[in-house]
Amino acid sequence: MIEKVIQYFELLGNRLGEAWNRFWFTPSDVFPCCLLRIFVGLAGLYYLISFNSDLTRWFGHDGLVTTETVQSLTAPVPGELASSSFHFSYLNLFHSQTELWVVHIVGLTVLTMFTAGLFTRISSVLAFIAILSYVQRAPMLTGQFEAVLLMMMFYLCLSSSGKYLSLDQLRKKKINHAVGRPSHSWTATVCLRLIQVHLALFYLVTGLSMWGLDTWWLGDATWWLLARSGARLADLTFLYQFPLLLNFWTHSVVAFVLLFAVLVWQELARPMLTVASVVVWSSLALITGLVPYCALMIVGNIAYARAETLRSWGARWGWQTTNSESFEAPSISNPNIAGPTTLRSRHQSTGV
Amino acid sequence: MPRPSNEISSRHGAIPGSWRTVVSLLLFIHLFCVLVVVLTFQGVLSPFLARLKSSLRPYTQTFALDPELIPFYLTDASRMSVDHFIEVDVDSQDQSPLRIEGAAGWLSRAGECGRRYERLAAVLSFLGEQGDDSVNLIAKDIANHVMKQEKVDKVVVRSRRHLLQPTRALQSGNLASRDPNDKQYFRTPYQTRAFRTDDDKINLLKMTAPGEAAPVGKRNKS
Repeated sequence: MIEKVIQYFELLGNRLGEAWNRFWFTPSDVFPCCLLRIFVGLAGLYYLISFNSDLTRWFGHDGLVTTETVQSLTAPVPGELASSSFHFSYLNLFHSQTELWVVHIVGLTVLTMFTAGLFTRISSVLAFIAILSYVQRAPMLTGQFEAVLLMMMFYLCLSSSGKYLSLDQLRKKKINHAVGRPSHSWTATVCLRLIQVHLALFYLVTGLSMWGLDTWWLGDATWWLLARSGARLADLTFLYQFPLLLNFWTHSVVAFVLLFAVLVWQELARPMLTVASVVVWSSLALITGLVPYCALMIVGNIAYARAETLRSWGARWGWQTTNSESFEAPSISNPNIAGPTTLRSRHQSTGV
Repeated sequence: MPRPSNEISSRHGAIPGSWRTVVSLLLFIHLFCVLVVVLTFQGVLSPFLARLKSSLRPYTQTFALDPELIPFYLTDASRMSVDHFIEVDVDSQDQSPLRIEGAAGWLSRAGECGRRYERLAAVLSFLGEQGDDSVNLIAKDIANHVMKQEKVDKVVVRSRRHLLQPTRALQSGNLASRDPNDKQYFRTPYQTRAFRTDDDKINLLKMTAPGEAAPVGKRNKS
């Protein structure tokens, strides 16, 4: 009896271990990371540019939120200066207009390098630090957009996202350095898997919190969103005449958000979820005015997409999406935990 | 710890066997931290969860992994899910209040630039209503900024809340109720008088009780 229990736990441990290894460490195509780098880099660039008009107004000596105020507000015990707070930002060190503009321009340069894929290994980390510094300088001014942006930037630091669609690719081609380098790696898998898991977690938490709120249950939430005249992009208040439509819209959003978190792990459901994602987030952008956040949530679908599909789309646009010497890698979008049949067929196709 | 899989380690671009255990451990710790902070990002926590969350703070706060009070649910139709803005009465000839906001226009509205002013106003309203002392720090910063900009020594800082119009108001025959910018839809959760003392410090004097309405200003300052 005891032997059987031990055998069971050994088997369980082995199976879990194998599944864990397949999920996190099966080498996968870097291309989705490279595509994500461009969109996330553009979002980061936009975020920094949005400070151009009022950089010193916010962070200057006589700014609207001084360093001391932020440190006091973010302290574990309110009012106390935050010696045990962990909101590190290089912007805390600069206060004059000249200093702030110098570091701002440096930040913009780093973000541009990251987006263009120049020295991507280094610029990805520096770009993350730059965005993090702006967020940590005044955390009370941040919203959903910054949370998703930072998450993606953090994980993109882990992969070699400058392999394709980048200046690094052109540079390496010139010095003929790329020969023999694979287009797939385990770091790309870890990066994409972390984005997938974290994003699905955001969806789940969003769905569950909507589920727990009366406004979403009663079907009024979309009305309350479009009634905010200071935030919305379009005035759709005439829809008050169609309460059933507003109810339907509200419930559709909750259903989509909850289903996404669960069904996105099923490959067959992904195309449908991607289309639904574009529709739902676009409609939410219209009534909430949270355009950057909604756009980033749509971009997040790239993390779940098949690398081959993305490559074929890229090729249609004339992008160079392959290295001639590299062989096709298995996509992690193809569930790697699918079992021996899938693995076998993949080995045949890759010649391993 | 998971055993190395031959299938994986034999492939091109695979993780070196010696790294796998370390990376797995780091991934596990990271995911645990993310799971705790994301799943407990709002609501009242048990003492255990509060302590656990607090102990993870050095990591989650450093990398801004903790969404804290970010409203991913978009709206709960509460006082915090409505428009807020900051107005400042400047002691000058022009009697209309100064509105602290981002650049005017569609781009600002659709972007993060304008949102930041709104979030600051919402924080001011929230802390003001709670009677939290921290609100004074924000109000002093705002007052100091406007005093320096307008070259005055006293101002009145207030946060304004634009309440949402229920659908029944639009269905009613009352013209005032049908107007979303009618004064009945505005509140002043926090208002304080600020003046600069001789030793160049800002002193505050709270003026009105929460919820009191005040006229809507028109002068914009971007």
